[in-house]
Amino acid sequence: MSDNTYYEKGLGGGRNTLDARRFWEAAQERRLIAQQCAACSEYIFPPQDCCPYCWVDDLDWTELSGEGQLYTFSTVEVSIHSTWGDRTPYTLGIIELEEGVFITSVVVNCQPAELDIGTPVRVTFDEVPGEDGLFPLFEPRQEP
Amino acid sequence: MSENRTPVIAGVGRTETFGEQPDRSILGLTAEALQNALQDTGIERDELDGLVTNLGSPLSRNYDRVCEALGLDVRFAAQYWAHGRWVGSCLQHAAMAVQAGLAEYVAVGSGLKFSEVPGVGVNESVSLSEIGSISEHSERPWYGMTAPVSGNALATRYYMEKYGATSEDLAHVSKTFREHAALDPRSHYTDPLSVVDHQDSAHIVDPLRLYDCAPLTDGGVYLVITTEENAQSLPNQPAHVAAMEGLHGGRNNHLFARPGMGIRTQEEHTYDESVTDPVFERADVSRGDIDALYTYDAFSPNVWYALEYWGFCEPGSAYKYVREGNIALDGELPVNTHGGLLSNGHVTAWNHLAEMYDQLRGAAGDRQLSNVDTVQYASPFGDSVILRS
Repeated sequence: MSDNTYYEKGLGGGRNTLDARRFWEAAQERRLIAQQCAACSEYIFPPQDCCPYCWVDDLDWTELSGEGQLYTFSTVEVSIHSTWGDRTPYTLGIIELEEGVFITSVVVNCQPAELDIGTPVRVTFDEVPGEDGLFPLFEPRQEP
Repeated sequence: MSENRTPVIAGVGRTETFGEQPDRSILGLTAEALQNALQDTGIERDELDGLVTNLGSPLSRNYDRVCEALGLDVRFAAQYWAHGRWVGSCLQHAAMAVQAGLAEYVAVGSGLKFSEVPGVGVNESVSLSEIGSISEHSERPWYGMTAPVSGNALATRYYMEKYGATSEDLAHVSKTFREHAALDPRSHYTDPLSVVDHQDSAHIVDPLRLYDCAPLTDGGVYLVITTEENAQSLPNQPAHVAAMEGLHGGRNNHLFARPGMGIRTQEEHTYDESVTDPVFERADVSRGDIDALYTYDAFSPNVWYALEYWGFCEPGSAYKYVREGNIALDGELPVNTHGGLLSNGHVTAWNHLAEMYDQLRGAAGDRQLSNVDTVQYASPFGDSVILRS
């Protein structure tokens, strides 16, 4: 991988922590993981250095089901940045996972018109423009 | 004998126009606005001994560069990090500095060029990997969430679903502010904007359309803060800083949503607007005394969120209140009487503070409200300033 990727930099500006690296490493193995506080058992996402609930810095990693529902979403209709411009329209979503974790990502393998708040989704892993490696994305799923 | 160091606004200055000004430099716009502010206040450059700004480079210029380039020699300087969210905090910092005796005349404001800098709106010359570090609005650039508008859109879809509001309801925010802006010749946009125009405009980031988003404006605004005692020997009628409320931080505060809406890290709960009571109590006024409200309308839904945050509307009802005409100049609570960021121009709400002072001293031209003595700046981020004549 090149040095100029979020995989290398950690999860976004200012969060270049070893813990964020664990999240991205798991994504390369097509696993969705999040932290869970060893003291208060709360799930924590995005990765943090200490628990925002009880301030303990003893955080475990746990694998998530990858299933949840669309909490809210928005379709980007115009090219704001050329790296993603060729893909417009594409749909951003905040996904509420079964474990209660909220994750912001892209909803793929569907038409925006098919989506509603509450649409069941599951994680899928794929590449994104301008970055190396796999990223957790989400796609609609049939409810069992 | 104790002197009266109560902080007041004693003058404002703006650039002649707000809009794209490709032939002007940032420092040139800064000098024009500051010169106009000093003239309006009735003081000389060497009397200015304080400077507070929010932006700094690259949208504006850092305080030290401004002082060096414009020949200022101040004994109280402060600069926040590069966001419009800090304009209220800058004014508050200046007021507290004056009251504490750190300075006699503090200029607060900025000259800036949004059109030139690929900062937060048009990121084209910045790589995706850089965006996260220069533009902290919860962007997720690696997922194509490259601009602040996406965060506002996600929150606004949730609000619409929850309360039944629509894009057409937002059109009334944009239309009203355009009507206000048409009465200020320096506005970025003055041509009429109808509900149909709004509904025909392209989705930028659904559900937000072109006219839900503030333009990228070049311009400058400064206000001069001094003591009530100093103001007695100056030409203008001063405006008193009657009460202030700091910017709130925490999981229930989101730049683009009202507390309690349940967006991202927020708890979803029934919002109780009494959390905003203290600023009204400190000013010794009630919400009904507010003659005009000013809020940070980078995106039109912010107006709904501010009206509900500050208790002017019940949660989930602001879109109806706006649609019924209540925020127009002749409405129950005129909002952004100069046209706001959306139409007067996006100079990070310094223009809002300048308009508030002009309304209080009866200098707002064709936009002048009658019988104005109390106006409020109140953001969707939780900070506020109440000014009284």
